[in-house]
Amino acid sequence: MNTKVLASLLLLPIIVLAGSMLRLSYMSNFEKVEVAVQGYDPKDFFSGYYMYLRPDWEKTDCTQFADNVCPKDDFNTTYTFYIKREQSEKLTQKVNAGVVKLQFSYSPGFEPIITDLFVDGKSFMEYVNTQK
Amino acid sequence: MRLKKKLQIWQENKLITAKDVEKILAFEEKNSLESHWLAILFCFAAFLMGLGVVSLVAANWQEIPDFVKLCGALILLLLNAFIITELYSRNYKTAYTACLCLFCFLIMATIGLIGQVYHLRSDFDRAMLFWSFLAFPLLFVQPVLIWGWLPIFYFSATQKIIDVSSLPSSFIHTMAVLAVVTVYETLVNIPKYAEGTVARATKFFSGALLLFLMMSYDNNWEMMRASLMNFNTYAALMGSVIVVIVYSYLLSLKNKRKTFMPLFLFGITIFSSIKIALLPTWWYCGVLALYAYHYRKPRLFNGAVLLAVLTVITYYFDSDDLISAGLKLIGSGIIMAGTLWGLKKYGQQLWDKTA
Repeated sequence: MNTKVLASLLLLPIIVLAGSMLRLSYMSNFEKVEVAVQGYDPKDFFSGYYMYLRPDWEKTDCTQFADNVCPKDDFNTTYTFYIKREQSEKLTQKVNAGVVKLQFSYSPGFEPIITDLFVDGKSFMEYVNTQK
Repeated sequence: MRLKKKLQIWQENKLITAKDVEKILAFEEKNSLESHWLAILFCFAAFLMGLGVVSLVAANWQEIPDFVKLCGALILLLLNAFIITELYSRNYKTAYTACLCLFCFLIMATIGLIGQVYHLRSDFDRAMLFWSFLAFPLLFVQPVLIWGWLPIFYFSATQKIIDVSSLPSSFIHTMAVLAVVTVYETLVNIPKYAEGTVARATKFFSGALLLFLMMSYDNNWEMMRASLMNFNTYAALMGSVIVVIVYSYLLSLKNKRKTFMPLFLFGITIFSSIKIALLPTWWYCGVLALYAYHYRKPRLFNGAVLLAVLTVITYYFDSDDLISAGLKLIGSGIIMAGTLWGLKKYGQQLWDKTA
């Protein structure tokens, strides 16, 4: 086999992966909305631990959406937020206390992309730093 | 054997002598078999390293910015692709195959990383199906990869495209019959399939996997993934390994040449099923290696050394902390590759010295 053919076959998956990254990065820059959530914490085989979160539309502020209506159908019934294993216990308590919200990058017609998780009004990294 | 036929024709046309035929066949037998199994074992080392990278990704390094993590993954893939092309152009076949295997794992790890960074819904089967799609072109690069690609594609496709649990039992029974027929057909046609790696691998794996599917039909798939200790699943896995051992042994008998692959697979089966204390196992492997050395059995010697290395690897799987498990897996992959390299480079010298 020609080395050029080999190189192009190897580049194919890299290009597709880079394309996925760019697409998701583009989708993460839409207008931000916050959705209240409920959930629990399982473990994923190759992406690590995550909080399994379900949008709680009754507690969500629908005025942030067009016509003051929550577009429930545009969102999935469950979402995952990846965390470290040692963070799961305290975060589960916060989720149960109803003080956790997911921030999405949202634009009608596109799949909403999670951009952050707010605990007691603090962004996830701020919350993590206060826990240290 | 294609080569044998060619040589026969050349001999009949008096292009080469019967002695030349013997010499060529002996040379080809020694070199092709050794490099083939060595490539598989090097791939196993690459598999451990790749699993280590996946484990490190799963550890979720929040301190590293997302952009750096994603760019790092792409750079690692590009670097690996560059190394593969270099190895190919310099004709380092074994290292080339092992690096391709590692490349497949890096694709898998990058998919996991993208899912983690963008908090995509955790869907293992969808991720594996995406991986199968991305890794597909690599089958044209190295057909041997089909041994790993096919089972992953099969499981993810059946999980994603066909919901097995909702299928009527008649369909499952038909698949079971198909499985038995495929396995039977493969085993009785050993001489025919001994030539083509791809044809043999495809037929054998499709049969074994159908059989596996049939055996685990009654189980809950989610439960099976959560714990592989489920008896039926365990029996199916072990059964498949035993079939592969017997198959590989029969192949070696048919080809009238000894190989340590059945012994190697047997070792994996033993170590994956029972926890054996480290020191006694090393003692056992040491005695086996000394015996092999004394009675001049190089393949048994290699097998004993590899079993000792594998014992260490099984202990690394015990770790619950993803970062340390990842680092240990990468370390054990390096140890494995180093041992193989040592056996390849210095093994012959060792036997020559004692000749």
